[in-house]
Amino acid sequence: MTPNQSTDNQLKLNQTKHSIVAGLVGIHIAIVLIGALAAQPSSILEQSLANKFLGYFQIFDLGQGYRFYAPRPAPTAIITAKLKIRDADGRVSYKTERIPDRKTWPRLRLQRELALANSLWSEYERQLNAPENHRPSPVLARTFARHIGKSVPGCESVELFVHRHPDPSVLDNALRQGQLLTLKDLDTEQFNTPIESLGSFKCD
Amino acid sequence: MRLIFQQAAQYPGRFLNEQWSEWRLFITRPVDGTMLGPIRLILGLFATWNWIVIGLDFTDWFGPEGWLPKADAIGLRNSTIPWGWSLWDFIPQSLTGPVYGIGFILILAWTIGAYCRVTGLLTWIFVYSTMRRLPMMLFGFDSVLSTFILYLAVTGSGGESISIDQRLARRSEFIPSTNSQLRSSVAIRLIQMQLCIIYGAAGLSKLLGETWWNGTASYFLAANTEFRGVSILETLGRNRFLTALATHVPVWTEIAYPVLIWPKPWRPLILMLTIGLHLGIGLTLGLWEFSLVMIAANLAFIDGIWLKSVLRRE
Repeated sequence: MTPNQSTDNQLKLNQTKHSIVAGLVGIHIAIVLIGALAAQPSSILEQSLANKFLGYFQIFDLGQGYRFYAPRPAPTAIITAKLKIRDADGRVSYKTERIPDRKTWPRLRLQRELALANSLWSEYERQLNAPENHRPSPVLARTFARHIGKSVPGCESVELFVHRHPDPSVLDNALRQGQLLTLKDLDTEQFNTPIESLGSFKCD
Repeated sequence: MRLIFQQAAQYPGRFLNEQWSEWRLFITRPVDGTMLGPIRLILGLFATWNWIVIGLDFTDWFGPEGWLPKADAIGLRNSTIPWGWSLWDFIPQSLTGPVYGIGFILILAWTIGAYCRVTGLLTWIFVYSTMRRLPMMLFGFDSVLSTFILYLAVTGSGGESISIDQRLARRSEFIPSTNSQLRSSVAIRLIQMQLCIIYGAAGLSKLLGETWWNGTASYFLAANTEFRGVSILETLGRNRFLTALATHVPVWTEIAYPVLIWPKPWRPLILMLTIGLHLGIGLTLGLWEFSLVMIAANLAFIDGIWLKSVLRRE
Protein backbone atom coordinates (compact mmCIF):
# COMPACT_ATOMS: atom_id res chain seq x y z
CA MET A 1 0.00 0.00 0.00
CA THR A 2 1.42 3.40 -1.00
CA PRO A 3 1.31 6.35 1.44
CA ASN A 4 -1.36 7.96 -0.78
CA GLN A 5 -3.57 4.87 -0.64
CA SER A 6 -3.18 4.73 3.13
CA THR A 7 -4.22 8.41 3.47
CA ASP A 8 -7.21 7.78 1.17
CA ASN A 9 -8.30 4.84 3.30
CA GLN A 10 -7.93 6.90 6.47
CA LEU A 11 -9.98 9.71 4.92
CA LYS A 12 -12.74 7.29 3.87
CA LEU A 13 -12.78 5.75 7.34
CA ASN A 14 -13.10 9.22 8.91
CA GLN A 15 -15.91 10.14 6.55
CA THR A 16 -17.80 6.95 7.39
CA LYS A 17 -17.27 7.59 11.11
CA HIS A 18 -18.50 11.17 10.77
CA SER A 19 -21.57 10.03 8.84
CA ILE A 20 -22.46 7.45 11.49
CA VAL A 21 -21.99 9.96 14.33
CA ALA A 22 -24.02 12.66 12.53
CA GLY A 23 -26.77 10.13 11.79
CA LEU A 24 -26.95 8.95 15.41
CA VAL A 25 -27.02 12.50 16.77
CA GLY A 26 -29.76 13.38 14.26
CA ILE A 27 -31.89 10.41 15.33
CA HIS A 28 -31.35 11.19 19.01
CA ILE A 29 -32.32 14.86 18.70
CA ALA A 30 -35.38 13.93 16.61
CA ILE A 31 -36.49 11.52 19.36
CA VAL A 32 -35.98 14.14 22.11
CA LEU A 33 -38.01 16.61 20.04
CA ILE A 34 -40.78 14.05 19.56
CA GLY A 35 -40.84 13.53 23.34
CA ALA A 36 -41.16 17.27 23.96
CA LEU A 37 -43.99 17.58 21.43
CA ALA A 38 -45.90 14.61 22.81
CA ALA A 39 -46.52 16.15 26.27
CA GLN A 40 -50.19 17.00 26.87
CA PRO A 41 -51.93 18.58 25.06
CA SER A 42 -50.67 16.87 21.91
CA SER A 43 -52.02 15.25 18.79
CA ILE A 44 -52.62 11.55 18.30
CA LEU A 45 -49.77 11.60 15.74
CA GLU A 46 -47.28 13.08 18.23
CA GLN A 47 -48.38 10.65 20.93
CA SER A 48 -48.16 7.58 18.73
CA LEU A 49 -44.70 8.62 17.53
CA ALA A 50 -43.51 9.18 21.10
CA ASN A 51 -44.93 5.79 22.16
CA LYS A 52 -42.49 4.13 19.77
CA PHE A 53 -39.57 5.51 21.77
CA LEU A 54 -40.85 5.00 25.32
CA GLY A 55 -38.08 2.52 26.06
CA TYR A 56 -35.42 4.99 24.90
CA PHE A 57 -36.94 7.79 27.00
CA GLN A 58 -37.10 5.60 30.08
CA ILE A 59 -33.62 4.10 29.78
CA PHE A 60 -31.95 7.51 29.50
CA ASP A 61 -34.50 9.67 31.33
CA LEU A 62 -35.38 11.69 28.26
CA GLY A 63 -38.71 12.58 26.70
CA GLN A 64 -39.67 15.40 29.07
CA GLY A 65 -42.17 18.00 27.86
CA TYR A 66 -40.27 20.95 29.40
CA ARG A 67 -43.60 22.79 29.77
CA PHE A 68 -42.50 24.80 32.78
CA TYR A 69 -45.32 26.91 34.28
CA ALA A 70 -47.55 26.16 31.30
CA PRO A 71 -50.27 26.72 30.41
CA ARG A 72 -50.30 28.84 33.57
CA PRO A 73 -48.28 28.91 36.79
CA ALA A 74 -49.83 26.23 38.96
CA PRO A 75 -50.40 26.49 42.71
CA THR A 76 -48.23 24.38 45.02
CA ALA A 77 -49.50 21.29 46.77
CA ILE A 78 -49.29 21.17 50.57
CA ILE A 79 -49.54 18.04 52.68
CA THR A 80 -50.99 18.19 56.17
CA ALA A 81 -50.49 15.13 58.33
CA LYS A 82 -52.56 14.81 61.51
CA LEU A 83 -50.98 12.30 63.87
CA LYS A 84 -52.85 10.61 66.68
CA ILE A 85 -50.38 9.83 69.45
CA ARG A 86 -50.94 7.67 72.51
CA ASP A 87 -48.34 8.01 75.25
CA ALA A 88 -47.28 5.36 77.79
CA ASP A 89 -50.07 6.43 80.18
CA GLY A 90 -52.68 5.95 77.47
CA ARG A 91 -53.28 9.67 76.99
CA VAL A 92 -54.14 10.69 73.45
CA SER A 93 -52.77 13.80 71.82
CA TYR A 94 -52.67 15.13 68.28
CA LYS A 95 -49.82 16.60 66.31
CA THR A 96 -49.92 18.27 62.91
CA GLU A 97 -47.09 18.32 60.39
CA ARG A 98 -46.94 20.43 57.28
CA ILE A 99 -44.98 19.50 54.15
CA PRO A 100 -43.29 21.60 52.88
CA ASP A 101 -42.08 23.07 56.13
CA ARG A 102 -41.21 26.65 55.21
CA LYS A 103 -38.33 26.69 57.68
CA THR A 104 -36.52 23.83 55.92
CA TRP A 105 -32.94 24.68 55.04
CA PRO A 106 -30.99 24.45 52.73
CA ARG A 107 -33.33 25.51 49.99
CA LEU A 108 -32.78 22.37 47.92
CA ARG A 109 -34.32 20.37 50.76
CA LEU A 110 -37.35 22.66 50.66
CA GLN A 111 -37.60 22.00 46.90
CA ARG A 112 -37.54 18.27 47.64
CA GLU A 113 -40.40 18.71 50.13
CA LEU A 114 -42.35 20.70 47.54
CA ALA A 115 -41.75 17.85 45.08
CA LEU A 116 -43.02 15.32 47.65
CA ALA A 117 -46.24 17.30 48.09
CA ASN A 118 -46.66 17.70 44.33
CA SER A 119 -46.15 13.96 43.78
CA LEU A 120 -48.82 13.16 46.34
CA TRP A 121 -51.19 15.65 44.73
CA SER A 122 -50.55 14.08 41.29
CA GLU A 123 -51.31 10.63 42.68
CA TYR A 124 -54.55 11.99 44.20
CA GLU A 125 -55.52 13.58 40.86
CA ARG A 126 -54.75 10.36 38.94
CA GLN A 127 -57.03 8.49 41.32
CA LEU A 128 -59.80 11.04 40.99
CA ASN A 129 -59.64 10.89 37.20
CA ALA A 130 -59.49 7.10 36.96
CA PRO A 131 -62.73 5.11 36.53
CA GLU A 132 -63.97 3.89 39.91
CA ASN A 133 -63.25 0.21 39.24
CA HIS A 134 -59.78 0.94 37.82
CA ARG A 135 -58.41 3.25 40.52
CA PRO A 136 -54.70 2.64 41.17
CA SER A 137 -53.85 1.99 44.81
CA PRO A 138 -52.48 5.09 46.57
CA VAL A 139 -48.86 3.95 46.97
CA LEU A 140 -47.43 7.33 47.93
CA ALA A 141 -50.17 8.18 50.43
CA ARG A 142 -49.57 4.83 52.16
CA THR A 143 -45.76 5.04 52.25
CA PHE A 144 -45.72 8.75 53.18
CA ALA A 145 -48.14 8.15 56.06
CA ARG A 146 -46.05 5.21 57.26
CA HIS A 147 -42.87 7.28 57.11
CA ILE A 148 -44.40 10.23 58.95
CA GLY A 149 -45.86 7.89 61.59
CA LYS A 150 -42.52 6.17 62.16
CA SER A 151 -40.85 9.46 63.03
CA VAL A 152 -43.15 10.03 66.04
CA PRO A 153 -43.02 7.58 68.99
CA GLY A 154 -46.43 6.39 70.11
CA CYS A 155 -48.11 7.22 66.81
CA GLU A 156 -51.39 5.36 66.44
CA SER A 157 -52.62 6.71 63.14
CA VAL A 158 -51.82 9.32 60.51
CA GLU A 159 -54.50 11.14 58.60
CA LEU A 160 -53.29 12.76 55.41
CA PHE A 161 -54.76 15.85 53.80
CA VAL A 162 -53.72 17.73 50.72
CA HIS A 163 -54.60 21.12 49.33
CA ARG A 164 -53.08 23.70 47.04
CA HIS A 165 -51.96 27.27 47.52
CA PRO A 166 -52.64 29.91 46.29
CA ASP A 167 -56.05 29.14 44.83
CA PRO A 168 -55.80 30.49 41.25
CA SER A 169 -59.46 31.52 41.00
CA VAL A 170 -59.35 33.52 44.26
CA LEU A 171 -56.08 35.11 43.21
CA ASP A 172 -57.50 35.87 39.79
CA ASN A 173 -60.50 37.62 41.37
CA ALA A 174 -58.27 39.66 43.67
CA LEU A 175 -56.17 40.69 40.69
CA ARG A 176 -59.23 41.71 38.65
CA GLN A 177 -60.54 43.82 41.54
CA GLY A 178 -57.18 45.56 41.78
CA GLN A 179 -56.54 44.37 45.35
CA LEU A 180 -53.01 45.08 46.52
CA LEU A 181 -52.05 41.80 48.18
CA THR A 182 -49.27 41.22 50.68
CA LEU A 183 -47.62 37.92 51.58
CA LYS A 184 -49.61 37.96 54.83
CA ASP A 185 -52.90 38.19 52.87
CA LEU A 186 -51.90 35.13 50.86
CA ASP A 187 -51.47 33.11 54.03
CA THR A 188 -55.12 33.57 54.96
CA GLU A 189 -57.54 30.66 54.64
CA GLN A 190 -59.37 31.99 51.57
CA PHE A 191 -56.30 31.55 49.38
CA ASN A 192 -56.17 27.80 50.02
CA THR A 193 -58.06 25.38 47.80
CA PRO A 194 -60.48 23.07 49.66
CA ILE A 195 -58.67 20.50 51.80
CA GLU A 196 -58.98 16.93 50.50
CA SER A 197 -58.61 13.94 52.78
CA LEU A 198 -56.45 11.09 51.50
CA GLY A 199 -57.49 8.76 54.28
CA SER A 200 -56.35 7.60 57.68
CA PHE A 201 -53.47 5.14 57.95
CA LYS A 202 -52.58 3.00 60.96
CA CYS A 203 -49.04 3.36 62.30
CA ASP A 204 -47.19 0.02 62.40
CA MET B 1 -41.13 22.18 -20.07
CA ARG B 2 -39.43 18.81 -19.76
CA LEU B 3 -36.51 20.52 -18.08
CA ILE B 4 -38.79 22.05 -15.44
CA PHE B 5 -40.27 18.65 -14.59
CA GLN B 6 -36.78 17.16 -14.57
CA GLN B 7 -35.54 19.84 -12.15
CA ALA B 8 -38.65 19.45 -9.97
CA ALA B 9 -38.16 15.68 -9.87
CA GLN B 10 -34.52 16.10 -8.90
CA TYR B 11 -35.28 18.66 -6.17
CA PRO B 12 -36.13 16.30 -3.26
CA GLY B 13 -32.99 14.22 -3.78
CA ARG B 14 -30.79 17.30 -4.16
CA PHE B 15 -32.40 18.96 -1.14
CA LEU B 16 -31.90 15.92 1.08
CA ASN B 17 -28.31 15.49 -0.10
CA GLU B 18 -27.46 19.11 0.63
CA GLN B 19 -29.18 19.05 4.02
CA TRP B 20 -27.42 15.84 4.99
CA SER B 21 -24.01 17.31 4.05
CA GLU B 22 -24.80 20.47 6.03
CA TRP B 23 -25.94 18.46 9.04
CA ARG B 24 -22.87 16.20 8.92
CA LEU B 25 -20.61 19.23 8.78
CA PHE B 26 -22.52 20.94 11.61
CA ILE B 27 -22.16 17.95 13.92
CA THR B 28 -18.60 16.89 13.10
CA ARG B 29 -16.79 20.13 12.27
CA PRO B 30 -14.15 20.68 14.97
CA VAL B 31 -15.45 23.02 17.67
CA ASP B 32 -13.23 24.27 20.46
CA GLY B 33 -14.06 22.24 23.55
CA THR B 34 -12.64 24.61 26.17
CA MET B 35 -16.09 25.49 27.52
CA LEU B 36 -16.84 21.85 28.28
CA GLY B 37 -14.46 22.15 31.25
CA PRO B 38 -16.42 24.87 33.08
CA ILE B 39 -19.68 23.15 32.14
CA ARG B 40 -18.44 19.90 33.72
CA LEU B 41 -17.14 21.73 36.76
CA ILE B 42 -20.45 23.50 37.44
CA LEU B 43 -22.60 20.43 36.73
CA GLY B 44 -20.26 18.42 38.96
CA LEU B 45 -20.50 20.94 41.79
CA PHE B 46 -24.29 20.79 41.66
CA ALA B 47 -24.30 16.99 41.43
CA THR B 48 -22.04 16.96 44.51
CA TRP B 49 -24.22 19.49 46.35
CA ASN B 50 -27.32 17.47 45.49
CA TRP B 51 -25.62 14.33 46.75
CA ILE B 52 -24.73 16.04 50.04
CA VAL B 53 -28.28 17.37 50.50
CA ILE B 54 -29.74 13.91 49.85
CA GLY B 55 -27.24 12.59 52.39
CA LEU B 56 -28.59 15.00 55.06
CA ASP B 57 -31.82 12.97 55.04
CA PHE B 58 -30.26 9.68 54.04
CA THR B 59 -32.56 7.38 56.03
CA ASP B 60 -35.65 9.36 54.97
CA TRP B 61 -34.76 8.67 51.34
CA PHE B 62 -33.05 5.30 51.40
CA GLY B 63 -34.14 3.74 54.69
CA PRO B 64 -36.53 0.76 54.86
CA GLU B 65 -39.09 3.09 56.44
CA GLY B 66 -38.30 6.06 54.22
CA TRP B 67 -40.69 8.09 52.10
CA LEU B 68 -40.78 5.37 49.46
CA PRO B 69 -39.22 2.02 50.44
CA LYS B 70 -37.28 0.19 47.74
CA ALA B 71 -39.93 -2.46 47.00
CA ASP B 72 -42.61 0.22 46.56
CA ALA B 73 -40.29 2.30 44.34
CA ILE B 74 -39.66 -0.73 42.10
CA GLY B 75 -43.36 -1.60 42.00
CA LEU B 76 -44.30 1.98 41.12
CA ARG B 77 -41.63 2.13 38.41
CA ASN B 78 -42.65 -1.19 36.88
CA SER B 79 -46.21 0.04 36.55
CA THR B 80 -45.30 3.38 34.98
CA ILE B 81 -41.83 3.21 33.39
CA PRO B 82 -41.05 -0.48 32.79
CA TRP B 83 -37.79 0.29 30.96
CA GLY B 84 -36.51 2.41 33.81
CA TRP B 85 -33.70 0.98 35.90
CA SER B 86 -31.76 1.87 39.00
CA LEU B 87 -28.49 0.71 40.45
CA TRP B 88 -30.10 0.99 43.90
CA ASP B 89 -32.42 -1.94 43.06
CA PHE B 90 -29.46 -4.29 43.37
CA ILE B 91 -27.94 -2.82 46.52
CA PRO B 92 -28.90 -4.56 49.79
CA GLN B 93 -30.07 -2.22 52.53
CA SER B 94 -26.91 -2.80 54.57
CA LEU B 95 -24.76 -1.55 51.69
CA THR B 96 -26.66 1.61 50.75
CA GLY B 97 -24.39 3.73 53.00
CA PRO B 98 -21.10 2.49 51.50
CA VAL B 99 -22.49 2.73 47.94
CA TYR B 100 -23.62 6.28 48.66
CA GLY B 101 -20.05 6.99 49.80
CA ILE B 102 -18.60 5.48 46.59
CA GLY B 103 -21.05 7.59 44.58
CA PHE B 104 -19.87 10.69 46.42
CA ILE B 105 -16.20 9.96 45.62
CA LEU B 106 -16.96 9.28 41.95
CA ILE B 107 -19.04 12.44 41.53
CA LEU B 108 -16.30 14.45 43.24
CA ALA B 109 -13.66 12.86 40.96
CA TRP B 110 -15.66 13.81 37.88
CA THR B 111 -16.19 17.33 39.24
CA ILE B 112 -12.46 17.93 39.50
CA GLY B 113 -12.00 16.33 36.07
CA ALA B 114 -10.21 13.13 37.02
CA TYR B 115 -10.56 10.29 34.49
CA CYS B 116 -13.64 11.96 33.02
CA ARG B 117 -14.36 9.24 30.47
CA VAL B 118 -14.97 6.73 33.24
CA THR B 119 -16.11 8.95 36.11
CA GLY B 120 -18.52 10.86 33.85
CA LEU B 121 -20.38 7.70 32.93
CA LEU B 122 -20.43 6.48 36.54
CA THR B 123 -21.63 9.90 37.76
CA TRP B 124 -24.52 9.75 35.32
CA ILE B 125 -25.35 6.19 36.44
CA PHE B 126 -25.52 7.37 40.07
CA VAL B 127 -27.54 10.49 39.26
CA TYR B 128 -29.97 8.60 37.03
CA SER B 129 -30.30 5.67 39.44
CA THR B 130 -31.12 7.99 42.31
CA MET B 131 -33.80 9.71 40.24
CA ARG B 132 -35.38 6.35 39.45
CA ARG B 133 -35.13 5.23 43.07
CA LEU B 134 -36.72 8.45 44.38
CA PRO B 135 -39.19 9.57 41.69
CA MET B 136 -41.33 11.48 44.18
CA MET B 137 -38.63 14.06 45.01
CA LEU B 138 -37.83 15.22 41.48
CA PHE B 139 -38.23 18.63 39.88
CA GLY B 140 -36.82 20.42 36.81
CA PHE B 141 -33.30 20.61 38.25
CA ASP B 142 -32.94 16.81 38.29
CA SER B 143 -34.04 16.31 34.72
CA VAL B 144 -31.74 18.99 33.22
CA LEU B 145 -28.79 17.95 35.38
CA SER B 146 -29.16 14.31 34.35
CA THR B 147 -29.50 15.14 30.64
CA PHE B 148 -26.43 17.40 30.47
CA ILE B 149 -24.31 14.95 32.47
CA LEU B 150 -25.49 12.21 30.07
CA TYR B 151 -24.21 14.19 27.08
CA LEU B 152 -20.78 14.68 28.63
CA ALA B 153 -20.73 11.04 29.73
CA VAL B 154 -21.64 9.40 26.42
CA THR B 155 -19.17 11.55 24.53
CA GLY B 156 -16.48 11.00 27.16
CA SER B 157 -15.86 14.74 27.28
CA GLY B 158 -15.70 17.39 29.98
CA GLY B 159 -12.02 17.04 30.80
CA GLU B 160 -10.92 19.45 28.06
CA SER B 161 -10.11 22.25 30.51
CA ILE B 162 -9.94 23.03 34.24
CA SER B 163 -9.36 19.34 34.94
CA ILE B 164 -6.91 16.81 36.30
CA ASP B 165 -7.14 15.05 32.91
CA GLN B 166 -5.88 18.15 31.15
CA ARG B 167 -2.95 18.50 33.59
CA LEU B 168 -2.01 14.86 33.12
CA ALA B 169 -2.22 15.23 29.33
CA ARG B 170 0.01 18.31 29.44
CA ARG B 171 2.58 16.54 31.57
CA SER B 172 2.76 13.61 29.17
CA GLU B 173 2.70 15.98 26.15
CA PHE B 174 -0.40 14.21 24.89
CA ILE B 175 -1.68 15.46 21.52
CA PRO B 176 -5.49 15.33 21.24
CA SER B 177 -6.61 12.81 18.63
CA THR B 178 -9.21 13.52 15.96
CA ASN B 179 -11.50 11.26 17.99
CA SER B 180 -11.31 13.44 21.08
CA GLN B 181 -11.95 16.53 18.92
CA LEU B 182 -14.99 14.81 17.45
CA ARG B 183 -16.23 13.88 20.93
CA SER B 184 -15.93 17.49 22.12
CA SER B 185 -17.74 18.80 19.04
CA VAL B 186 -20.59 16.32 19.45
CA ALA B 187 -20.92 17.13 23.18
CA ILE B 188 -21.14 20.87 22.44
CA ARG B 189 -23.72 20.29 19.69
CA LEU B 190 -25.83 17.97 21.84
CA ILE B 191 -25.96 20.48 24.70
CA GLN B 192 -26.74 23.34 22.30
CA MET B 193 -29.59 21.48 20.59
CA GLN B 194 -31.00 20.21 23.89
CA LEU B 195 -31.13 23.82 25.14
CA CYS B 196 -33.02 24.83 22.00
CA ILE B 197 -35.57 22.08 22.60
CA ILE B 198 -35.96 22.99 26.29
CA TYR B 199 -36.45 26.72 25.69
CA GLY B 200 -38.56 26.21 22.55
CA ALA B 201 -40.92 23.80 24.33
CA ALA B 202 -41.05 25.97 27.46
CA GLY B 203 -41.85 29.10 25.47
CA LEU B 204 -44.35 27.66 23.00
CA SER B 205 -46.28 25.77 25.69
CA LYS B 206 -46.81 29.01 27.61
CA LEU B 207 -48.73 30.35 24.64
CA LEU B 208 -51.53 27.96 25.61
CA GLY B 209 -52.23 29.95 28.76
CA GLU B 210 -54.20 33.17 29.01
CA THR B 211 -52.04 34.60 31.81
CA TRP B 212 -48.95 34.53 29.60
CA TRP B 213 -50.87 36.53 26.98
CA ASN B 214 -52.57 39.03 29.29
CA GLY B 215 -49.34 39.71 31.13
CA THR B 216 -50.30 38.49 34.62
CA ALA B 217 -48.41 35.15 34.80
CA SER B 218 -45.46 36.68 36.67
CA TYR B 219 -47.88 37.88 39.37
CA PHE B 220 -49.21 34.32 39.82
CA LEU B 221 -45.64 33.09 40.14
CA ALA B 222 -44.75 35.80 42.66
CA ALA B 223 -47.87 34.88 44.66
CA ASN B 224 -46.59 31.34 45.11
CA THR B 225 -45.30 31.92 48.61
CA GLU B 226 -44.10 28.35 49.11
CA PHE B 227 -41.06 28.96 46.89
CA ARG B 228 -39.62 31.33 49.52
CA GLY B 229 -37.63 33.46 47.11
CA VAL B 230 -37.22 37.23 47.36
CA SER B 231 -40.81 38.44 47.19
CA ILE B 232 -41.69 40.89 44.44
CA LEU B 233 -45.43 40.42 44.94
CA GLU B 234 -46.16 43.92 46.22
CA THR B 235 -43.89 45.59 43.65
CA LEU B 236 -45.69 43.76 40.84
CA GLY B 237 -49.09 44.46 42.42
CA ARG B 238 -48.35 48.19 42.36
CA ASN B 239 -46.97 48.24 38.84
CA ARG B 240 -48.99 46.41 36.18
CA PHE B 241 -46.56 47.44 33.43
CA LEU B 242 -43.72 45.78 35.29
CA THR B 243 -45.88 42.66 35.78
CA ALA B 244 -46.55 42.52 32.05
CA LEU B 245 -42.88 43.06 31.23
CA ALA B 246 -41.83 40.33 33.69
CA THR B 247 -44.32 38.02 31.96
CA HIS B 248 -43.63 38.80 28.30
CA VAL B 249 -39.82 39.01 28.31
CA PRO B 250 -39.27 35.42 29.56
CA VAL B 251 -41.79 33.94 27.11
CA TRP B 252 -40.40 35.73 24.07
CA THR B 253 -36.83 35.02 25.13
CA GLU B 254 -37.67 31.32 25.31
CA ILE B 255 -39.47 31.33 21.98
CA ALA B 256 -36.72 33.31 20.24
CA TYR B 257 -33.91 31.21 21.72
CA PRO B 258 -33.90 28.22 19.31
CA VAL B 259 -33.81 30.57 16.32
CA LEU B 260 -31.79 33.60 17.38
CA ILE B 261 -29.09 31.83 19.39
CA TRP B 262 -27.46 30.62 16.14
CA PRO B 263 -26.71 33.87 14.25
CA LYS B 264 -23.54 35.30 15.83
CA PRO B 265 -24.75 38.95 16.07
CA TRP B 266 -27.84 37.91 18.07
CA ARG B 267 -26.11 35.40 20.31
CA PRO B 268 -24.78 37.79 23.01
CA LEU B 269 -28.21 39.43 23.36
CA ILE B 270 -30.03 36.11 23.63
CA LEU B 271 -27.47 34.80 26.11
CA MET B 272 -27.75 37.93 28.25
CA LEU B 273 -31.56 37.72 28.25
CA THR B 274 -31.42 34.01 29.09
CA ILE B 275 -28.95 34.50 31.92
CA GLY B 276 -31.12 37.36 33.20
CA LEU B 277 -34.16 35.09 33.05
CA HIS B 278 -32.43 32.41 35.11
CA LEU B 279 -31.08 34.87 37.66
CA GLY B 280 -34.65 36.16 38.00
CA ILE B 281 -35.96 32.63 38.54
CA GLY B 282 -33.25 31.97 41.11
CA LEU B 283 -33.88 35.19 42.97
CA THR B 284 -37.68 35.24 43.04
CA LEU B 285 -38.55 31.54 43.03
CA GLY B 286 -35.48 30.35 44.88
CA LEU B 287 -34.73 27.77 42.20
CA TRP B 288 -31.00 28.50 42.25
CA GLU B 289 -29.83 24.97 41.47
CA PHE B 290 -31.99 24.72 38.35
CA SER B 291 -31.08 28.22 37.22
CA LEU B 292 -27.33 27.84 37.62
CA VAL B 293 -27.30 24.46 35.86
CA MET B 294 -29.12 26.04 32.92
CA ILE B 295 -26.68 28.96 32.88
CA ALA B 296 -23.79 26.46 32.92
CA ALA B 297 -25.25 24.61 29.93
CA ASN B 298 -25.56 27.92 28.09
CA LEU B 299 -21.75 28.20 28.22
CA ALA B 300 -21.86 25.75 25.28
CA PHE B 301 -22.75 28.76 23.12
CA ILE B 302 -19.65 30.70 24.14
CA ASP B 303 -16.76 30.30 21.72
CA GLY B 304 -13.80 28.90 23.66
CA ILE B 305 -11.26 30.39 21.23
CA TRP B 306 -12.76 33.85 21.64
CA LEU B 307 -12.79 33.55 25.42
CA LYS B 308 -9.16 32.41 25.52
CA SER B 309 -8.08 35.30 23.31
CA VAL B 310 -9.90 37.80 25.53
CA LEU B 311 -8.37 36.31 28.68
CA ARG B 312 -4.89 36.38 27.09
CA ARG B 313 -5.25 40.06 26.18
CA GLU B 314 -6.03 40.82 29.81
